[in-house]
Amino acid sequence: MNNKITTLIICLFSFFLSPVIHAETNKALEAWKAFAAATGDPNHARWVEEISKPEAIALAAEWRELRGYDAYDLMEQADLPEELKPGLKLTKDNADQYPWLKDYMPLEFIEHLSSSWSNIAEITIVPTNTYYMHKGYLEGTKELKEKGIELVINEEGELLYPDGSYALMTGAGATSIPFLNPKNGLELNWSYVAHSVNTDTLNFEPIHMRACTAGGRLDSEYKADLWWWHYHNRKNTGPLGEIDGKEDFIEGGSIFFLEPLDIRGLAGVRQRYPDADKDDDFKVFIPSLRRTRILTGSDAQDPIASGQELIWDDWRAYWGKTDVSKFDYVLAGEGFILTSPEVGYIYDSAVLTEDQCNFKSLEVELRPVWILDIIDKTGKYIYSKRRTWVDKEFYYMQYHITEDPRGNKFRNWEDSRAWRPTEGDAMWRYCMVNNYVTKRMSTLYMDPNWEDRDERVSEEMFDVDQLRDYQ
Amino acid sequence: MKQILNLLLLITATFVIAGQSYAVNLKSKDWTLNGRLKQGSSILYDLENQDTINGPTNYLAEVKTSWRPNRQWTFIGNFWLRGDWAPGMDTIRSSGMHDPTDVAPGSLSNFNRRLPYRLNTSNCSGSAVNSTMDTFCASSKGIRHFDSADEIIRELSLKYRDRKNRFTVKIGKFQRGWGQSDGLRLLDVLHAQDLRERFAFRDSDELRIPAFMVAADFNFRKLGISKPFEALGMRRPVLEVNIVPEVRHSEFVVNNPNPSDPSSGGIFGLPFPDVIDPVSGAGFVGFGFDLRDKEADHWGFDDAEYSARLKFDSLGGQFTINGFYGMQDLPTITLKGGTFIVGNGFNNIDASIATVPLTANDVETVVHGAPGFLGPSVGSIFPTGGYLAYLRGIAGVGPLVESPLTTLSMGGCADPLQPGLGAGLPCSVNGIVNLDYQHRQKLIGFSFARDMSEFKFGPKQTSPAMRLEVAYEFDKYFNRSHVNPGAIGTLNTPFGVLPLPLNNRDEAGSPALAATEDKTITRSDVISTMIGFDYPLWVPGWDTQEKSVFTSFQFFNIHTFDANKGLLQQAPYAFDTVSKDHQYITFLWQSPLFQQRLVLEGLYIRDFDNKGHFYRQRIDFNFFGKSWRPRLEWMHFDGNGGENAPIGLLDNSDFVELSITFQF
Repeated sequence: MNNKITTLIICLFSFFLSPVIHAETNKALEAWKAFAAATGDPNHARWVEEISKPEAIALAAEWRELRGYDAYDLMEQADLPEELKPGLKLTKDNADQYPWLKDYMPLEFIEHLSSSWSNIAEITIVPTNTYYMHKGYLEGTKELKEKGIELVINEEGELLYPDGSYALMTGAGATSIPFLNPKNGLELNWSYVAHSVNTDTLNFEPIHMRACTAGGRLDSEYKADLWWWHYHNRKNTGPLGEIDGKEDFIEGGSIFFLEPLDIRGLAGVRQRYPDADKDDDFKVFIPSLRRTRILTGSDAQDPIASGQELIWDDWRAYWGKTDVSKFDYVLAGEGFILTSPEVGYIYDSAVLTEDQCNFKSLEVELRPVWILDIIDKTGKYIYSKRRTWVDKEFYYMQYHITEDPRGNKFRNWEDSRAWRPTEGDAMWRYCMVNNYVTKRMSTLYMDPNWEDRDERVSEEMFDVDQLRDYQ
Repeated sequence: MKQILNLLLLITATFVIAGQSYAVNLKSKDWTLNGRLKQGSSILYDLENQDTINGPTNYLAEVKTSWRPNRQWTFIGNFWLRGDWAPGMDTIRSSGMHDPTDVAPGSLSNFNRRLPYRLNTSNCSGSAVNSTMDTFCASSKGIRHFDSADEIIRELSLKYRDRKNRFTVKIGKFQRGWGQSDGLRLLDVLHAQDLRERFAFRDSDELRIPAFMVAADFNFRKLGISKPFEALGMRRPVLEVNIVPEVRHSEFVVNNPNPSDPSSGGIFGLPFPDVIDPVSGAGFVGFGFDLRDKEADHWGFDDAEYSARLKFDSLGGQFTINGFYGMQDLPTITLKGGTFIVGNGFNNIDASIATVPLTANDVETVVHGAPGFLGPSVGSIFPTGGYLAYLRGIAGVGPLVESPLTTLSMGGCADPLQPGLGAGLPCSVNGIVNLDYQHRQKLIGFSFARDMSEFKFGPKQTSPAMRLEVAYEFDKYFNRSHVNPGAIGTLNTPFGVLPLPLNNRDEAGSPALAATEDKTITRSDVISTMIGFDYPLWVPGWDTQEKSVFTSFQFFNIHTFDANKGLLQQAPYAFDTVSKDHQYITFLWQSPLFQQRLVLEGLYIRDFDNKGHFYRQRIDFNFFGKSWRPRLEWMHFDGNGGENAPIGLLDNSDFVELSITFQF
């Protein structure tokens, strides 16, 4: 009896000492429970089930403690329109009734409610989630904080440890958010870059890339397997620690095209050096030659595949190289934006029409964001400006739009991550990339593979001379 | 017709099965199945003395499958059924044997006129008796259907990857490419080439002939033995070892008009050489050739090919050091003997009265015999003499001699110079020639490729990628372009082997091939170098450019150390002599337009030494979804009319082709 009382006292003591860590719920979960109950949608119910898991609640709480806020804390401080609530459905017929919409929703979304291309029949606002990154990032960011290690940005714009070594190449800095509360555009840029793909191993088997004409006809379609590896201080997926033989690079991405047949076997591996002035290592295997070719890493402005709107620098919305000699990084503001929820692990929040060139429905949620402008100083880059809405919880882009050198709206990027609440790691489920000059809509739909990633993805995928025999 | 129907049935069945299987594929990411059906149709527009006609009409049905149950094992199968309908369509008029009626004593153009040789024609009903008629033809059956199992199986391989990534082993039938060069092969010598459909002017994966082989890659770092290499600045060393017990040589079809050994490869068959004596200008009338392949052991380890390359990173780029111990893919030609045909003047053994076998020494002596080599003739006003002496006598650049065929037949064979002499039988000689593939090829080399990121220029500040490749080949075998058969030859006669006097002079061109192997074959080291640059070109002022124009420039220099000794490029079909330094440039550009749905690709090749130009333009119309791929392709050869390889040989092979591919 005494033991039981002692245990109870210890539990209660722990509970009151660490109320956040041992919380059984959070505001996002409660909002979703109410919303799912109201909609009766099984997808929403499954999502609630996922974010209700104790590991998810605990991880959310730990990140909230580390950051000092979560999305709901920020929303409570904001003066949001009364009508901006979960459950609100927007169509071309009622969008005009909400004059506040333009302040929260990307203008392009509003236009697509009535546009003849990339049309969105209906947009539904769902509850705001609380997002966080995987446990490795939590650990790394905490370690930096606890050890008082302040990462610095040098004159070249490189992210370094105080001793001058590259932060993303070793130790906690390789898997952490360097600036939880960025003070300027460059710090925000590096926190966004450090988010990377928020998993040690990204594995799409496959990714479908589709592009539609302005007339709404599908005219370019590819299927590929795609991988990404975080090379240093891996905490999330095996092999843990360092990837042997990748000492020169931060990370690498690779792709093997499966369809259409005329490019089947085309494989590319692109790896990033930490040096600001060193272009990516870029090798491709060309099946019609049966040979490996080195391509210049300086040309990241070409589409990954013909007919697609996706260029190498736009992969994951922004994989451009941080280079202060070419770009200005400006923290242009902060606020909220309505964009796709990262629910792709459980369900598709964006549903395409049969023709694959329009949307039957799109869900959006309200996200707290910083606004990052990356402005070309050279006049030689494909985009004169990138504007990115970087999530204040997730340190990842929530919306992205570019301008061409003439200042015209060029391409956007909108996506839904396949985010696992229990682990905090993420891949992708869907992306929309629209070209506003040619009025072409591209979509990416990915099948993330979560099983056996430590076995299934290996150095084979990041050495193009091995990747050539992948399938 | 029945064959065509069977073929269509097979293709249809392939695609029905493939289509069914494809549905299964959607449920299994470990197994894939794809296929395509391609049909082309072309016109030939630059034929000599002939209007525009149907050109290559190639079809291809392909199925490709892979199965990857786990990351250790990968199985790949790739099957092609292909051929050309053109041989059943139009006839191509080519040049064949020299016309024995084209004789005008004292002229330097004796027997120059060549009889026509019809390619692609199956109905060869002409009579060889009437030499002025269009009597020689071949069905080009060698290119109609490549339907043997060996041709159909392009890849059938199993790959094992060590769990710790220390090594991989791939076994089966497949191909591997080496080197950095496009177009000309320097280090890319692991596989022979299939030259039958478009000669060497097609994509290299279609050009290589896959072989049954074993390839293993060893990652030194994973094996824990990389330290010495890394100490030398060789990072991430990987050794690739290939053993190819199935020895293949390059495949080509000779357009050989010899009725005893006819063959035709259509417009991309190797044209029958214009066999003339450069001294007299006269054609080798009455001479035909039986071609025999003298091959290495097809299977086994004695003639097997062994190769290895060490790949590593250094100097900001990637190096390979390569070594190859294999067999030559292209032949030298050697004289094996001959057949003296009595009773048929057009080399047709089946229509002869009698045949007499000749040794290589016999043929050499008959061709190069000096005037009077067999003493005075019987019944003729002219003395005896060898074949060249005879041609030169007619042309007035030597004393008149009796036709050696008349002499050897004891007056039985007619002598065009002396109608009515003896029995007046038509006669001819078939030289039996070995296409000898039994020589070893020994080669070392290296390649280096690097992103030249230090040099950025252009509207987008992009940099070129540099490619460098050097191959050193030891003791490459050549046919000599100049041969002196010597002062004395031998001839088998009923009276025994007789030593006979020869012209004892340096002979060039075709006469140089009519000598025994010890005199016609020589060796030389060759060093080949390529430097190339690839550059993504963003065109200044083109504001709406969606994608860079991929440009690729290459410069080749092929240095043959003993070129001054007189070597033939590729006897007897490429009769140009080897230059000390043979230089080429190539330029490739590719520009996708209209959302990259219209893809333009051009390839220009300049052969400086032979003054040849080649241009290929491809236009892909990718407007019709992912399954349909129409392509327009134009190839233009300007070979300066010479028998030089490869452009000159194909001077009249210019064509425009429209092909449509359905793929899944």
